[in-house]
Amino acid sequence: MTDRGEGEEDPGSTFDDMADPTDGGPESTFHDITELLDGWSPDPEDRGIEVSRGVRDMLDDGLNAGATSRWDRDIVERRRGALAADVTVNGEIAVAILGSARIAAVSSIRSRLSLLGDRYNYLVVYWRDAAEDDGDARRLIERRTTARSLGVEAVSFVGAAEPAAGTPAAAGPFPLVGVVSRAAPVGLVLGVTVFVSTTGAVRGIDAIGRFPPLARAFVLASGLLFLFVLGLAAFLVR
Amino acid sequence: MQLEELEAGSTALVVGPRRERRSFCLRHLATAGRTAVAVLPSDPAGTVGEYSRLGGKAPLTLLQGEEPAGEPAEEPPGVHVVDVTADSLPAVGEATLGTLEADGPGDPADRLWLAGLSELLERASVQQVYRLLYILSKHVREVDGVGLYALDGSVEPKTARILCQPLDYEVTLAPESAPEIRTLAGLPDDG
Repeated sequence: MTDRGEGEEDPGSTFDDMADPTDGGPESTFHDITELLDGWSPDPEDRGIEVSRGVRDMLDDGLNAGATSRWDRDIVERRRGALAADVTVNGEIAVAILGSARIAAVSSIRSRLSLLGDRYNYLVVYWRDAAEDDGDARRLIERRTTARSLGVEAVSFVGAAEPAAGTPAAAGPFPLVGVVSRAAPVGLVLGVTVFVSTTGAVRGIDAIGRFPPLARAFVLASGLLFLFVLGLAAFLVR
Repeated sequence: MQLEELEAGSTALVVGPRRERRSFCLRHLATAGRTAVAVLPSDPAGTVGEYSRLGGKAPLTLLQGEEPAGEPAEEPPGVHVVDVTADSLPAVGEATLGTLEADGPGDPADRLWLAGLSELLERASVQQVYRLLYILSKHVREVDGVGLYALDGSVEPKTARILCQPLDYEVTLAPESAPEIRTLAGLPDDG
């Protein structure tokens, strides 16, 4: 819990005063938190509790820099418990600190965000780490986690940039160039193999050409079915 | 959990119909040893009468939003009435804190009933009301008091969950039923 330096009271201000943009209001405080977290990064040595302490202290300093009254101060708290956010602001805004995203963890991360959506009205997700291969998982989580799906007023994602961001391999949800470059050696070997077996292939095609029409249709359908299964497998893996 | 088990130094959100809330909170208020405080009760005169009927011996401070029509000008013995600007959340907060301060003119209050929480929520954001509960609860603990914050049962469950966070208990009331008292988890980590 952070409760440092309660300021001088200002009992004269009213609800209308408190709705002033300088006071913030829920939406404004949410955007301030998003901006503050976007420009912050933890000490590389820090893990777990140390990171959430760092987030709490940084938000407390950043949000309350200009507070003149204890009624203006944003209450920044670190929380404990599996169902709670890592840090909350004024009880209503949750900050969830997540490690790197792995495909295997997508389901559990989405479950946690869903639980937080049941308890808070605003959610800021901070990606603490970034691993080289978590780009797709992050995109998947961010695409499917909307304010509407969580039942919150707003949700945002900030934090460590993906290491591979900006490289062709991570340019889109289906990194075609990367796949092609990785598949080049395999393709070379396959090409040589095909070349070597060209004679056999020609003979095979020639033999199929002498088949009755029904047999040729069967061979063609088998080939198409094989390609379809191959394509389906590639889609599912993606 | 029985009435006596809301121990000194604890705070609770009391949710339920108006009549049950009032009855539950006044029963607690009447157990005050130093001073009892009722903040923005809807019927100050009725509150004073019920407090006495329930055996309240300690002085009672009433923070009322505006002087109700037909109210007697002089304060009843043992009752101190303070007018506050109910439209100003900081003013309500400061006046309430004034009754809880250990270094104030009298003994700090040991029973606090914030009766008008639902009305405050209609005029202020959830975050502003959360701040009020957070600050008041901190002072209630410091003076070993009991703080009760009464909320209408029609409020959104998520709002009630948010406001519960700085508190120790949630008390759910229903007609003809015993109070359901739940210890709250998810406490802040001071470290």
